[in-house]
Amino acid sequence: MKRTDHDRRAEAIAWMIRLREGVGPETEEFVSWLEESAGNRTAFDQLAWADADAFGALEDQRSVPPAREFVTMPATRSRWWLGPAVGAAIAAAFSAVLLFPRGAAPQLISTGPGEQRTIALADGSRIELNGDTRLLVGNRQSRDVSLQSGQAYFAVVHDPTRPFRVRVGKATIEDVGTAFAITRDANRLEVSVEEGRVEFQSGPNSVTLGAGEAINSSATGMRATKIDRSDVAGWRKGIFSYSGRPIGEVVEDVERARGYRLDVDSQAKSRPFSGTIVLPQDPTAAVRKLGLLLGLDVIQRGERWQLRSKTSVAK
Amino acid sequence: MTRSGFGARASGAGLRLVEGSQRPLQIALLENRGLLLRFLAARGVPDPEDVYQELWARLVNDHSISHDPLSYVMKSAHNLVIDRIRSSRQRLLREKAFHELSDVTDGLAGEASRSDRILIARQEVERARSAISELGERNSKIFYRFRVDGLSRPEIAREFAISVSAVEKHLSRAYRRLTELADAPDVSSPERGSVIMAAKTEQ
Repeated sequence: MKRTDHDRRAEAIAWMIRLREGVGPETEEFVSWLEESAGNRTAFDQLAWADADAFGALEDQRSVPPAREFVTMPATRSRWWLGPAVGAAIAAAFSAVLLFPRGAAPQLISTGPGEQRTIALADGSRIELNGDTRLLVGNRQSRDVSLQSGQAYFAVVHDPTRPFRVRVGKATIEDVGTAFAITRDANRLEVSVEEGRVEFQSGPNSVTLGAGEAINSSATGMRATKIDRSDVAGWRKGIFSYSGRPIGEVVEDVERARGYRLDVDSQAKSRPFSGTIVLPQDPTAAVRKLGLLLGLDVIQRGERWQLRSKTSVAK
Repeated sequence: MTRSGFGARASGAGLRLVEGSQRPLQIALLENRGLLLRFLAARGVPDPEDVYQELWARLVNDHSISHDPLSYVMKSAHNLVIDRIRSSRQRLLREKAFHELSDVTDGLAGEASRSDRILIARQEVERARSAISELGERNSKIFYRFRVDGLSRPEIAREFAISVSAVEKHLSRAYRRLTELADAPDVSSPERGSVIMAAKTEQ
């Protein structure tokens, strides 16, 4: 009698349970069952994904993410208004819209780790700062800013008579009507373009980047790459996307965006990571998920988390 | 005295350090190489040898102790397959765009955009969540203990004061409910399937 899909499914479930518990001496039998028919393999594959999704769902169930808070901050208040006692967890959920003062002197706008902020300029352009970022702005009318460190996303209203310029160290990035993002830290300068065109100038070199293009400048040189446009400044949406980037960089980005304090062992830091990470709001759930996706063990020590090379692979 | 010079072996409740020997996980990997390659091939990976190497690389520094190393290796192999397919789903689309520029339109036209795929992944977890909550509190608790906390059927049976076969019924029910969702037309199983076949190794 022909076996039905229902039978296969029941068998697949029985094998999944044994696999999770420890399939041990029955491994041979299990593999033979998979090899027996394409129907068995499909049934098991479907179940494997259901099983993986279930893990995600059950994990998330542990915590209800806090509601995102939007606050309009008076221009005279600096971020210190928050006070040092405000924990990283609150900062992580905190996003402020800064209304820039009219005719004010050049001002340094900075965000703490995990704090994100939006700056509205007079011409309708918008700058979004990720956590742990410092940006120098002339005044609200200015179209000339300087990114000292961190990550920022620029949605620029184009004005041919007054180009929008971002200075980053020795480099200048000039918009030709566009949305783009810049990352600057000790080791790298990265410009990625979501829309329009951007002129990147560093010393005698000049490159024009179109939508879906990025340039990565580090000690080892400059490298232009194609990117997915929806990846640009993924931090605004809590999405972290990478293709063969070192784990150290991934962790740095998460620290910046969320304000967590993470330590990675040096061995793991240089390992490449490819993939997209979407983190839940709850810090504990987020760090656990991060560890899971990077293949690292997570140990909480007070306010810090240690991410260590796995001593255990099985979930 | 370095850690790598020793193999750890569990014996009964105690732990024995076996100097100079290979660790049980390595032994299990070596002794069951053929079986593992067959498993990986049956799970649809196009490059079982490479995945086996990756599994080796993952487990060679694994100092955890298992009474049943083959079970541990199989669980790891299963997880590795899932992880690889997940990340290759993303990478593959990129590689296509990079290296087969002439095929870009063909290669990407049928695919959902990245944000759509992220959305699909979220929806899958969301569906799984609602499916689990539909199971009722007791059943979803049992499933949680099994799937997340990694308890065995007998352990769960003791905790909930029910029979082992009752635990099995609960687990089957949970899995059946979850796979019924996978039958729904808008779930991305076909996409997953096609990526399994095309997945490449990243060295």
